[in-house]
Amino acid sequence: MDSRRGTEGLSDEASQRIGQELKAYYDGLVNEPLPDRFVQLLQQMEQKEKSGGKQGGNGQ
Amino acid sequence: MTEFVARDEIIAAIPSLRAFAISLCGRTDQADDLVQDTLVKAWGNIASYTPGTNLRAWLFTILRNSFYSQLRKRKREVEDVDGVHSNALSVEASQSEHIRMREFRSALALLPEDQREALVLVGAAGYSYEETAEICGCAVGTIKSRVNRARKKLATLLDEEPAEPGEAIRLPKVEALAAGL
Repeated sequence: MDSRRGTEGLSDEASQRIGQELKAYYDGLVNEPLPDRFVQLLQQMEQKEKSGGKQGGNGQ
Repeated sequence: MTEFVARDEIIAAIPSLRAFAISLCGRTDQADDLVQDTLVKAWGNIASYTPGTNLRAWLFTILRNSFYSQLRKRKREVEDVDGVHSNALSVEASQSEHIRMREFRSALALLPEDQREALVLVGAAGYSYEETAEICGCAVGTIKSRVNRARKKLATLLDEEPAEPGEAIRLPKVEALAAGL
């Protein structure tokens, strides 16, 4: 059973487990449903561009 | 029309931007504000994005810069009030969450921001050390040492590396945090 500490003071096992947990945590967040506010925001930004965007410095 | 391609990519990047934001600030509402802020800035400054470069990394850079400027502002405000600030994040508790995952989240929140950021970018968001250094505006060696320190601290907090057998240092701070104290 080799749970010796490596040069960084962390066994491979421990650092692997932490790596997996971090991935699971992050992937869980990525897969959360997106709040509606972002869809609305993007629609608003697109709309604004279509209607009034031309005056905003399209000159060059 | 590279602009339109870039905008599609911005939209596609929202879930990972949001995951990064939540990892950074620990709170969904604050994270969503950060993401919104980032989207507005990116959309308005799309011309300053260099086509062909990593758009996701560009967005992450905008987001982390906003995060740090808000953090500095908030710390100043808190210091103004009582002359001291707490580094600890408040972590939302979600009921259905596995206990171990909650412990993990709480332990992650106890890391200094710069270490947490480096660890998440390298260990979860899929960036190389070099890309992470670019996003964070520092040297590759700095990122490597932050990631190492972050891993070690997490291991200690999560009791992965007990100092001596039988010496149970069982997350007193983390449990207190998870309990909302």
